[in-house]
Amino acid sequence: MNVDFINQWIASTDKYAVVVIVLAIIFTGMAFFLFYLSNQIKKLK
Amino acid sequence: MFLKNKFLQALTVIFIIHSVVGGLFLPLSPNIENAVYAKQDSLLIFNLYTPKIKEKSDVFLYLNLPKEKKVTKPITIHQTKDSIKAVFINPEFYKGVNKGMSFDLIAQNQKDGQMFYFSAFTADTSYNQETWISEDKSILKESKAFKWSFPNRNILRESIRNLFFHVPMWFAMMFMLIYSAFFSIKYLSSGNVLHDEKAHNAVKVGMFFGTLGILTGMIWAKHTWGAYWTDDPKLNGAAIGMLSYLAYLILRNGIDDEIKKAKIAAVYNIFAFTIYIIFIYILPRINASLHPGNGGNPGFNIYEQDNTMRFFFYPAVIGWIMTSLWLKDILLWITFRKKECLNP
Repeated sequence: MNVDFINQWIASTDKYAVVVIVLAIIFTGMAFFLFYLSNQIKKLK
Repeated sequence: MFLKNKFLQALTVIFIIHSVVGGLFLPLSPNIENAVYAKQDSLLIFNLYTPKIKEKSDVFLYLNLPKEKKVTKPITIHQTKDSIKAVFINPEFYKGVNKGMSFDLIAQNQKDGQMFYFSAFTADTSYNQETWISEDKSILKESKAFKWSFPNRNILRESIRNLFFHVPMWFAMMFMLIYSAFFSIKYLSSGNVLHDEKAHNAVKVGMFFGTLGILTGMIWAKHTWGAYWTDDPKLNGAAIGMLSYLAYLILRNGIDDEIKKAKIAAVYNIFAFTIYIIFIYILPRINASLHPGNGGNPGFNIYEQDNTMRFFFYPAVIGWIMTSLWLKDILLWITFRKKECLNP
């Protein structure tokens, strides 16, 4: 996979884009975890 | 504790919003953006790109040898709109400078304070001709004044903000693992199943935060160290430690008898915790490591932590630790509701 355009985007933002990606990973992870929890709670009802 | 306490819930959300908003939108302080040097006889000519330093007229420049705590001033300095040209005596001509020694550039003016450009120059050869001149040492002390901006470090640049997102993941994980080990010990002394369930769910939440910590760390490493994964004791140690905790989850799920399950899991958990501490805190400090705070590298608290960083970093750590407790409480509630459903 050619990811050069992602690297160029990150370089053009002076690595600010790395922070955005990191935050996106954390909140996606949180969303999956909460989705898992809500599914578990639904199963109880 | 968290499920019925609206105050704690609100506090958690406020802490996280505070660190995310502040961490994303506060600007970086001005600094030298780029430093290129050329050698000419016994001179070292630096071209510094400095578009963000507004008042260049009163900039003082120093070349700093961090290990010896010594600095030297340029012999001439020439400023243009976006750059500064400074000529130093090549440090290789000083006594005691060895091949591979690294020097920092320090710029300083009234308005912006001190600006560090780390490892601007590395000595290629070693000479022993003159004595290194020790200049005013007071400039090496960074000012503690509170400024509404984050430090602007070469290599790190804007990614310094990851400190509020990557590091608290590990704090949250570590808190959960300590909590878990504590309740495993408590289970072995009391035999109360509640303690074992607390330990088990804390490991689950801890592994979730550990995975986020590893993923965010990989992205950060790629754009600062140049690779997603390096052969580093801290990284490998964290991976091995997490695998030993995955073994805990598999081991616990593999035993049907409730009492046996809890006892074996508690004993293994204490073992896994000890292994983890050795792998992520002790071994990286013994061996050379790229990771800040290990293997002789300066920790973040020396160079990158300043009062503005702390103002967002500490709430972030507390906020994510509270989130981990909150998630653990929900998991625990689900576990006991399941048990109630199975044995009404």
